[in-house]
Formats: sequence, structure tokens, C-alpha cells
Amino acid sequence: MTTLSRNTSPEPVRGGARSAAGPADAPARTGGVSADAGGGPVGAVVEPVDGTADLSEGTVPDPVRGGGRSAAGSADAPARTVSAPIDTADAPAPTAGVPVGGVGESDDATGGSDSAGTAVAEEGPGRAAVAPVLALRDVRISDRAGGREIVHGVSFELTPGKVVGIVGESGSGKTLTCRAALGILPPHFEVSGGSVEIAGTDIATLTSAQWTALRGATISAVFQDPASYLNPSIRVGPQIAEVVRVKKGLKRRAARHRAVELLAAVQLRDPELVYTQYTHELSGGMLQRVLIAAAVAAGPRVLIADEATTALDVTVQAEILDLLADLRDQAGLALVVVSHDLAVVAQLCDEVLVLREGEVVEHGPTRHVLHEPRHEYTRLLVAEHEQYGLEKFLTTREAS
Amino acid sequence: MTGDRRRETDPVLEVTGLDVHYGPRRRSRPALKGVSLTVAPGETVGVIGETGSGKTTLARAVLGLVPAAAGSVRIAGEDVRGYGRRQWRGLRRRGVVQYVFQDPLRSLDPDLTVADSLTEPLLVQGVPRTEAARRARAFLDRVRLPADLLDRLPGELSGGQRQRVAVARALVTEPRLVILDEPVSALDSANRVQVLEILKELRATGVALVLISHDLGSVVGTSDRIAVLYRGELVEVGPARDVVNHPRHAYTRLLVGSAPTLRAAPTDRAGRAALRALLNA
Amino acid sequence: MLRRVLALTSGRIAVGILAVIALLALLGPLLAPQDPLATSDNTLAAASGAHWLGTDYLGRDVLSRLLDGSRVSVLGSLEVAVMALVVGAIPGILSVYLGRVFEWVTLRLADTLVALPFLLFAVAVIALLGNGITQAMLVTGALVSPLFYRVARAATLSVARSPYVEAALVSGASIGWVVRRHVWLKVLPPLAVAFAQTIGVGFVIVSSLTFLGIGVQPPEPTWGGLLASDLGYLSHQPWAPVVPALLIMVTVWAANLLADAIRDVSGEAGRALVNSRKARANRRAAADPVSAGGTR
Repeated sequence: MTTLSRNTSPEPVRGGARSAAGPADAPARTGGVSADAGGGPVGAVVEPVDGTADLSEGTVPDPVRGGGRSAAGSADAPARTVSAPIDTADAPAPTAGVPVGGVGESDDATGGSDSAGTAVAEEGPGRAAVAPVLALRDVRISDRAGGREIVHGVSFELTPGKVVGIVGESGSGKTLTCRAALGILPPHFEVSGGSVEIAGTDIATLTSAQWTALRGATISAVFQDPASYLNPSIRVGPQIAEVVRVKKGLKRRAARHRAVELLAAVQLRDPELVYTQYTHELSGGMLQRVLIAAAVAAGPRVLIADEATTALDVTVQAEILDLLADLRDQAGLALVVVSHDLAVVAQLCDEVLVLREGEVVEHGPTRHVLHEPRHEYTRLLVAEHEQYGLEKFLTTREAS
Repeated sequence: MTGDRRRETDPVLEVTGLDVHYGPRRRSRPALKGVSLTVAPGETVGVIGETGSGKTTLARAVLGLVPAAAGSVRIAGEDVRGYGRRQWRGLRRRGVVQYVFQDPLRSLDPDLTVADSLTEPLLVQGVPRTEAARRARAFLDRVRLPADLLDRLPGELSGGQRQRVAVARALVTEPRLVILDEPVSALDSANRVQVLEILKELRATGVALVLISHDLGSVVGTSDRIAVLYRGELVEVGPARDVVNHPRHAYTRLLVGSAPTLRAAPTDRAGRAALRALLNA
Repeated sequence: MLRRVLALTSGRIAVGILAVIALLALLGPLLAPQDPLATSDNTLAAASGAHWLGTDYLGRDVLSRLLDGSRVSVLGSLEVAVMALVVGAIPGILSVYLGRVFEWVTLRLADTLVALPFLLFAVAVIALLGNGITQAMLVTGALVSPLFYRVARAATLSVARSPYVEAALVSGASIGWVVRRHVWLKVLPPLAVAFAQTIGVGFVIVSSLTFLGIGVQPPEPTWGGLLASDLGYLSHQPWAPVVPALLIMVTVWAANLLADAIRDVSGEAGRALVNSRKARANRRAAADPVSAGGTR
């Protein structure tokens, strides 16, 4: 099985990864892109954060607070099995606040991985926090044409292997928020307040060359309509190989090999054949897989999936959601899942933000938000889903 | 269910052994194979199928937008087999069948106001302009849109509003059968609920509905019966609740198993993989 | 549409210039200070109080000839554009609806017209129908019409299979209804662009035809004709062709400017343009230091 690893360095860092999954001495990584800074867990820690249990909120540096908070938010949650990444130095530490039930298939996804897969993270207050790979702090977005603010302060933090969901109606600002994180806001929109940090770097300070280096390699995205993101007159394989060549500096032959590997990794049945096909020869689900392969080609640490399954058939959607879960489990990819469908978010996410008209009305662990919603808007969304979704008619499957 | 506008007990739509082929004659491939479906007056039938399963083709064949290769279509008792352009126009002007298109963004002319779009089917029928305007206003109310929307252009409406205008346009001729292609797929939850509620009210008035969708969840609550299309064939037809709870065909089972739900974890991947293997065998 | 065009600076300039040219065409002959055909001994005179633009080789007042010729020139190019519009656009729209035979025949005809050598065709038609302004316009209009045919056909094709046209058909609408109600509005903006361009092209063509003596008979002045006669006396009066050449140039330029402006403000692109202009205006208005957030 191909693993989607960011770090291709041959350094044996497995021990580090495993110990990272350990409960007591989980190292807090800095957000820096210096994934291969050192072999062991200690070397990777550039800006060490107190990893012991007496982590108090008042003293920790800012990036950590989010992790601490979310850990505290689910203090009562049971432990979660974590599939440790196999050969990466920047192995994701166990994610905070994930009840086992929240991610149903995590068990069978980890079945094949090595002993690290059995490492169990103890959850509890004061658990070691990991530096976020993506942090939005009170991000506000304004439309300069209309002169009004569209998004009124969105904050969340994403650590490796964690999945944040954003739900909301169209026009609630979900897509704008994602685009702000990617630095691709449409013309005459701007971030008018707050900050976005990708792997510890404030994006406001980035030059366009730095952006280019960051996109794909650190943060990547897939969108709703896969066909429009691929060139119809070039075979899909070389388009992925190009990403690998540019971002990873691989030679032609190696890039081709890697591209086929990636196509296999997104579970396309015949990767060699798909490599030589054009977009019009592939179905929507296959295209979305190809796009995901291209998005993870340069080994990003964050993948934003903006309505990535909306246009797909339900059966295909289930497959793509499985694939995203695998990527998270195997490569420690952090995901932002944007959808107007509550159920999609419920399948995959550890944490959910509910957006309405640019305002975050509720933010918390998925189980809490969807099953015990506090805000009336969330309650309405859940009620609407239960009224018109499939659940109401499913009498036999509830138990399973 | 005795709708006040039910004129006869004959089915409003009777499709028998319908074959449709696409492409040039030599290399044509079947889009529909022997599809038979009957819709009784006032009944709501959900047609479920994935992309390329032929569900939109079925609607277009019923409306005479694509020719049938074999089989027959009867609309309100009238056999439309071999109808020419003029005969179709005559049938359509009676406004017996209406169609709501898949894409609410493109199904309204961007240069016509809502009022113009709504009155169009009536004007085509020869209804006087003032009478048409009056009825358009009434139907806008029925889909819960304010009357001041009449002067707007589609570009100034939200997706949900546009879809409701499209539904209203299909209703103004008071058809006996409305075929809706993915009526709620492009809409988010609030608009979805609104459109589904409008459809529910519509059912109560005795209009027969055919809801075409790829998403079982979005139509099951509104349908009396569910028909599942898979690769051009009708693989399962039955009461909505039975199809969801006791799916017989492998594809239906996969469909039910793939639908994301809020509480239950997604059904096991192994089970879905087995069903998929079964389907591809 | 007009209001949007006028919102653009280039649109305002174009409309302004074309308005002046139109006035010239309407009132030119009345404004002419002297008889444009009256000859005098004072040939090839320089500009003076009596003759603002000097006189030509027969001693005729150049300004009067320019003003008098403007009507023929402007109306001529307008006629060309209207002719091309009628001959090209209507079959272009109908080619989508009237079946395969009509489609095939009109497509081949359009191809043929494009392939014909222009001057040969013009000379042949003149030989057949006799020399005259109407025949000249007929020739040029027919030759430019494939542009309109193509533009109208392309725009119609893109509308013909749209859901709203199908919705109209499902309601029982006839093809005539669909064209009047749905197609026409979509075809109009690209046709307007083609029309504005053709006015420019028409000027050049009518001018070059008169230059060759086709269309307008010699004593009667046109801008192109003036240019032609002036060119013969370049050695005596090097600056003489400047004024008629400038007039033609400015008119063509303004027509092209208008065409660009129409294209810019129509459709999605137009909306985006208007939006970004609004954004710029807002930014300038809200020049307070608070908005120092995202500078990219």
C-alpha cells in the first residue's frame, strides 16, 4: 500500500513517530515547515512547549491554547485509537477531542498499519498540545465593492490529523473563509481583520513567491467541480507529475512513477491506465480522486475540501469520504471539510463550525454540536435534516 | 386521496417498455432499456439513479425532447408514439405535463424578469396578458415568494428563490403531472426544506409528481413510491418505506448504505465494497 | 445598455465623437460655406480666411467639399453595416432552427463570400448592375455579412439548448416565439459589437471604393474621394490629405472604441467590470486608516 508521506527523507524516524503518539511525552511541534529538522522527537521540537500534564492555559503561547481548549472541551470523551503515520518525522500526535463514535471507520482504516497503530492517547485536561498547521484567528472578510463585511470573525485551529468541518448555507461565507486561508480571495474581497497562520507563518506577511511555495506543499484544496480544475487537453497523469516535478524537484521518470503511486493511493482501480486518460474519459468520482491525488502530490499538511463531494452521487460520495479519512489516518493530513450537508460533516469531522451569514453561531466537537446543539440555528439545521433526511425512514439500521 | 382536480382514474403517465438510444445510429448505446413505469393521478413517484443511469433521459423522453427507440408513452391516456413537432406542440399547449429543470441557475432566462418567465407558459397558451399576470402573481404566492420579486431578474435572486420560481412556472398552467429533475440537489438545507414543503402541499392538491434525484434521502420523504434506475434499467419499484428499509437490489442496498446520516456511523466499508463488487461482476 | 456604455470613459468619448460625426452627416451640406462643386482659378491654395482648408486642384473649397461629402460617407458606411446585419444575422439565427439543409446551404454561402476576392467581386457587381452608391453598398454589405452570420449563429447555438429555451418548448412555444423572446436578447450584444466594428470597416471600404471610382461619381465629394484626389497633388500640397484622412481615422477609431465599450459592459464580464470600478471608488471614498488589514 502506498503511503502518502510528506517526508521522503530516508531517516529512520519511526521511533519518534511512535513516541509522538505516546501519551506522556508528546512533543509539541512548531508550525514550521522544518519537518526534517531532526531525527528524533526532541530534535523536531524547535519551540518546545511544556509537554507535561501541568499545562496551564495562562502560560502557554498562543498557538497552543486552541489545542488545550479543545482537549478540555471533550475531557469526558473516551480515548481514541490513533493510526500513527508510518514514516514521517512530523507525525501527527493524537488529536484532541475525538470521541470514538465520531469517526466510525477509524478502526478498520488502521488495521494494516504497524504497532504504532495501537498506541492509545490518553485524553484529559492538560494533554500536550501540538502546534496548529492552520490557525484562523477572528478572520474577517470584507467586500470592497459593497463596502460591507461578509465574514464576521472565524477562528479555528487545525492540528495534524484533525478534521474541522464548516457547515452553513450558501452565502454564509464558508467558501470565502477557505479562500482566505488559501490566499485566493476573489477580486475586491479582502481579509479586513484577524489573522491566518499556516504552519506558524502569518499569511499577511507572505510575498507571492512564498505563497507559491506554500500552496501545494503545505496547504492544498479540492473543490466542488473537479473537471474545471484540470486541463481537458492534457492527460491527467502528466498534470499530477507536473505538480510533483515542480514542488518536489523530481526528475521526469521519478515524477511519473510518483504520480502513478498517487493515483493508486487514491484507490483508482487501474492507475497506469488513468494516468494516460483525459478528463472527459473519467467519471465525476474518478476526477475528484485525481484531483485529490494532485492536491496531496506535494505532501501538504492541510487539505481543504470545499463541497468536494456535493456534486457526486451518494455512493461515490461515500467512497470519497472514506478516502479522505484514509488520508487523514495514514498521512496525518489535517482536513477542513466544507459542506452544506450536516451528515457529510458528521461522518468525518472532529470539530464543527456552524456558520450563518458570516457569523460562527456554534463551534465545538462534532458530537456536541450535532447531537446536543445549543444554538437554535444549529438545532434548526439538525431538525431539518432529521425531518427530511433518510433517518426518519430508516427503522432497521438505527441499531447498526 | 381524492384530489379535487382529478378528472379520471386512468394513469397520468404510462411508460411501457421504453428504449432510448444515444449517439449516431451505428454506434448508438442504450440510455434506457425496457423501462416501464406508471404514475397514477395525484401520486408522487421518486426516480432514483446515479449519474448516467438514464433518469434525466427518462424525463426528456416523456416530454418528447428525445425520441424513443421502442416502447410507448401515454400521457393522460394519449399515446404520443410517433408524434411530430406540431402534435407535440398541441399536447404541450394544453399544459398537461410540465417539467422543472435540473439547474435552477440556468433554467430561467437571465434577461427576463420573474414576471416574464412566469407568464410565458400562459401567453404561449393564448391567455390574455392581464389574466396571465394575475395568475403568475397568485402562483408566486403559492411558492411563498413575495410579489415584489416579479420585477426582478434571475441574477438578483438566490438559488432557492430561483428554484421556487421555476416550480411556480411549471405550475401556472395547472398541469396534472409535473416532472422535477433534481428539485433540491443544488439547494442548501433551508431552501431544500422549503421546496420539499411546497411539493408536499402540491401533492395534497392532487397533482401527480415525478421527483428525479440521485439522492434517496432528499425525495424519500415526499414520495409514495420509489423507482430505482441503474444503468438504464428499472431495477426496483416499491413503496418508499419498503425500498429504504428492505432494499432488494444490490444497487439499492449500496445506495441506502452510502447515504450519510447524522447519528448512525456509515455502514461498514467492507459491506459496501462487497456490494460494489457484486454490481461490477 | 446605453447607460452602461456611457458609464465608461471610453464609451463616452466614442459616443461623443460619433454624435459629432452624425451631426456632420445631417447638417454638413447646409454648413458648407461655399458651393462644393464651384471651381475657381485659385487652385491648390493654402489655408486662408476665405478657404479655411485651402482649395483643391480645381480651386474648389476643401472645407465645403468635406462637409458636403460627409453625408454620403457616413450614410454609406451605415448602409453597409445595416445591409450586412440583415443579410448576415437573420440567416445566422435561423440556421440553428430551420433544419439541416438550410444550415448547410447558408454555411457554404458564408464560406464562399469570405473566400471571394473583394475588389473583383465589387467590379463584377458594378459591371452587372451599373455604377452607383446603392450597388456599392450592396456589394460591401454582402461581403461583410459572413461576420454577422457567424456571430449570430454562435450566439444562437449557445442559447438554443439552454434549459429555459427547453422550458419554453415544453410549454408549447413555437420557434418564432423562442427566437423573439429568448434568443434575440442574447444575440444582440455580440451583434452590436459586430455592427460597430462594421461601421468602421464600412468607412474604409466605401472610401477605398470611391478612391477607385466605384460607387460615387467623381464630381460629388466624399471623404475617400477627397483623399484620393489630394494624393495626386502631394508634391504641391503635402498636408492636403491630412484632414480627410484624419476624419476617416477618427470615425473608425470611435466606432471601434464603441464596439469595445459595448463588449466590455455586456454579459458577466460587464458586471464584473462595473463591480470592480465600484470597489475602486469605494476604496477611494473610504480612505480612512482603519482598513489596513489585508494588503496584498
